[in-house]
Amino acid sequence: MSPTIHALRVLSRARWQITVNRWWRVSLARKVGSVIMLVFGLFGLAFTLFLGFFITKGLSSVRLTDGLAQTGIDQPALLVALPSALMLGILLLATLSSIGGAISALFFSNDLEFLLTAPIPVRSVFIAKLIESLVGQYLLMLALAVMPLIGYGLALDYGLAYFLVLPLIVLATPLMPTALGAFLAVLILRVVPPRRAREILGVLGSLMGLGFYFGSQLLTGSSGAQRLGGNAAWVANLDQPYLPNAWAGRALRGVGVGDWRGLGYALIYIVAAGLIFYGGTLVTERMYHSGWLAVAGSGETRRKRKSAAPAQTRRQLGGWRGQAQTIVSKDLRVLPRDLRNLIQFIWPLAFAAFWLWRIISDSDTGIAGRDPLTVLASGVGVAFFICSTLSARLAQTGISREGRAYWLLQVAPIHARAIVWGKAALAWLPFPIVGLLMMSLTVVLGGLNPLLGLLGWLAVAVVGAGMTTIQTSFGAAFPVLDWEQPEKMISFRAGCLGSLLGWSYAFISAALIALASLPLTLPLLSPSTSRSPVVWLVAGVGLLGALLVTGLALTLPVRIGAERLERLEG
Amino acid sequence: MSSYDQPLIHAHELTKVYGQHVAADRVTFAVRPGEIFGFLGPNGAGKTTTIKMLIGLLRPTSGAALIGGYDIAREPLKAKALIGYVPDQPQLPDKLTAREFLQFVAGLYRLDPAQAQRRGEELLELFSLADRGDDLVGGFSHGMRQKIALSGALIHDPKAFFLDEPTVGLDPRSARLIKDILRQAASQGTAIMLTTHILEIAERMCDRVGIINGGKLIAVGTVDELRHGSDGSLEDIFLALTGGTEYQQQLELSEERA
Repeated sequence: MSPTIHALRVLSRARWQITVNRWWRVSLARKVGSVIMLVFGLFGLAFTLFLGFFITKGLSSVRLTDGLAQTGIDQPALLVALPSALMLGILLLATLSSIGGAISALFFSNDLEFLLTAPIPVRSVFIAKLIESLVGQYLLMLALAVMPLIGYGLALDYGLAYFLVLPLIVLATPLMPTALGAFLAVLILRVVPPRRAREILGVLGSLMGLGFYFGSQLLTGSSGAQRLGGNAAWVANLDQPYLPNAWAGRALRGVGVGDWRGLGYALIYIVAAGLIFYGGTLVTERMYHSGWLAVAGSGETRRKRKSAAPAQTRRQLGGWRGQAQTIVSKDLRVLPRDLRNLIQFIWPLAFAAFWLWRIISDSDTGIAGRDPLTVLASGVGVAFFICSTLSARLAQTGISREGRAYWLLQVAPIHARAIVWGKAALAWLPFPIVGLLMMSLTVVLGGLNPLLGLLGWLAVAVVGAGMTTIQTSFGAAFPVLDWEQPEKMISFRAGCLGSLLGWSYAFISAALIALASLPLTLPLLSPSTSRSPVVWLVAGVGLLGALLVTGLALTLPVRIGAERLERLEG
Repeated sequence: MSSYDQPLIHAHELTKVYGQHVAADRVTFAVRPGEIFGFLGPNGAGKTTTIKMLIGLLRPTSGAALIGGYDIAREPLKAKALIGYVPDQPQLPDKLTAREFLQFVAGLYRLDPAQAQRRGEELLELFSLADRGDDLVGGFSHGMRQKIALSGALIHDPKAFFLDEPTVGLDPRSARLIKDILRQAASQGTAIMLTTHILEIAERMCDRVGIINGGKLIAVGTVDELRHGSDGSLEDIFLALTGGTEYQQQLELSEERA
C-alpha cells in the first residue's frame, strides 16, 4: 500500500472516531437535542422535496398555460431550465462556501501542526482535509438539490433512468467547487492574512445573497405580473450550453424525457468534474505546504490604530453602571473591527433601505396618501421589524461574543447582572436610533401627525427594550464560549427560548400599547367616535398591562440569565 | 518578605469532584501577605483546578476559598476585587489594542480612568510594549499576550496574585522580568500563588511550596523543610513524593528488553 493511501486510511479512521465520539460521548441532554435537530432536519428535507414537487406541478399545469402566457412566461422553456438554474445556484453557493471551508480545514484546523510534522505525505493531509470539506458539501447538496430534484422528477413522472442518473450528478457536483475553492483559498492566503480573508469571504457571501435577492426584486418590473414574467425569463436564460450547470440540468432533463443525448451531457459533466477535481487538487497541493508555512508563521497584519481617547476626558458612570458602560464601550470598539460582526447587519440594513424605497416609491405598498392609522401601523411595524432584526443577533450573542476571553469578566469584581445589562444596553441601541430615523421618515413621507410619530417611536423603543432584555438574558443563560465559527455562537436553547419568549412578549405588549393608545387612535378610525369612559378605562388597563409586562420583561429574564452566568464554570 | 499576618489566600478543605473523578481532595493551605507560594504537581494533579476554585472560576464541591478573609462563593465581588490572575494560555479580546485592553480591565475594576491610564503606560513600558500599544492583541505572539495579561492583572495592584505557569513561552529576559516583578509585588505585601513545572523557579523564588498529586496536597513547607535534612534537590523531593522515580526503573527495563 502506498504511503499516501495508508495515511489517508489512518486519517479517515481518526476522523470517523472523532465524529462517532461527538455523537455518543455527550450528555443525554445533548443527545436528545441532536435527535430533535435530526427530526427537524428530516422535516426540512421533506419540505424541500414537496417544494420541488409542487412548484414543478404548478408550473406544468395545463390549466395555468394561458395564465402564464399572459404574464409573459414561456412555460416549456421555464420547466426545461429549472434543473439548470438550480444547479447554477448550488455550484455558486458551493464554490463560495468551499473557499471558507477550505481556509478553515487547510489552515485553521487544530491538528495541522501535528499532522504536517508527522511522517506522512503532505498530499494525504491535504486530500483528507478536502474529503472533510466534501462531506459538508454533500449535506448542502442533499437539502438544496437532491430533494427538490426528486420532487421535480416525481412531478413530471420521469422514469427510472432519471433517478439513476441523479445520484451520479449529485456525487460529481461538489468536486468542482471543492477543488476550485481550495485553489482560490491558497491563492487568497498568499496576499491576505488568513483571519481577514475569512472575514472578507463572509461579507462577500452575504453581499452575493443580497445581490441575488434584490437583483431579482429591483431589476424586473414593478407590477406583480411583470416581475413574475421577468424572473421566469431570467431563470430560463440560465440554461446556456457552455455552462457546467446546464450540462447537469440537460442531462437530468434528457434522461427524464427519454432523450439519450442526456446521457452524453451526464458523461461530459461527470468527466469534467473529475478532471477539474484532479487537476485542481494537483496544482493546489503543490502550493499548499509552502502556503501553510507562510500562514503559520504570520500573525495578524500589524496595523497602527488611533490611540483610545484619553481616559480622563471620558465621563464614567459610577458603580455597576460604570462597569456596564465599560462593557458597552468595549463592544462598540470591537464590533466594527470584526467584519464577521458586520455581516450580521448587512441584511437588516439592506432590508431597511429596500423597504424605505418601497414606502417612498411603490404605488402598491407606499404609504403616501394612506389613512393615518395605516401609515402609523406600517411605520411602527417596519421600524420594529428592522430594529429587532438588527438587535436580535447582538442580543443573543451578547455573552457568547466574549468567547474564550470570558474568563476576564468572570474573575473581575463585576456582578453578572451588570454584564447582562451592559450587553442588553448595546443590543437595544438600534431601537431608539434606527427607530427614530424610520419614524421620522414615516412622519415626513406619510404626512403623519408628529405626536403620533413620537408615540410610535416610544412604543418601538419600549417594546424593543423588553424584547432585547429577554433575548440577551437567554443568550447569557445558555452561552457558547468555545465557538470557532461565529455562526455557531447562538446555542439551540438560547435561540429557541429567546426568540419564542421575546416575540411572545412583543406581541402581547404591542397589543396592550394599542389598547392604551385608543383615545388617540380611535378618532382617526372614525372621527365621530367619542372618547367615552369605557375607552379611557380600556386604555388605562392597556397602559397598566403594558407597564407590567414590560417591567417583568426587564427584570425577570435578567435574573435568570445572571444566575445561570454566575453558575458558569470555566 | 514582609510580616506574616492573616492569610490573604486560604484554601480550606477545597474539594472538586467531576462524576467519579476527584480532581481536588480536601486541599488546605494558606498564603500570607508578602509570601510567594509555589504549587507543584505532575500533569493532571489538580493544580489548575485548585487555582480556579480559589479565584471563583470553578465552584468547589465542598470546602471554602477565602481571599483576604472573604469567602469567594459568598462575597465574590469583594474577594475578586483583591485578585489578579494570569492563566497559562491567556485568551484575550483579539480586536482590542493593548492600550484599549488595559482601559477595559481598568473599567471592570472601577479604577480612576486617569490613574489607570498612567499605570497602564507604566506597565506597557515595563514590558517593552509601549510601541505596540496601539496594535491589536490578536496579532501578538504568545509571549506578548502573556505580558499583556500580566499587565491587565497588575493594573489594579492585586493583593492576591495567581499565576498559572507564568514563564511558559517567555524568552529568558521576560521570564527574568516576571520574577523581578513578583518579588517586588511580594515585598509590597501581595500574596502570590504560582504553579510551575520548572522546579528551579520554585526552588529559587518561592518562600514555600505545596506539592499536589492525584488531587491531594501531599506536602507543604519551605524547600528546606521538605528536604528533612537531606541534601537532595527539589527535583529529587518532587519525584520521591509523586512517584516519578519509578519511571527511571521502567525506562531501564524497556532498554534491557530492547
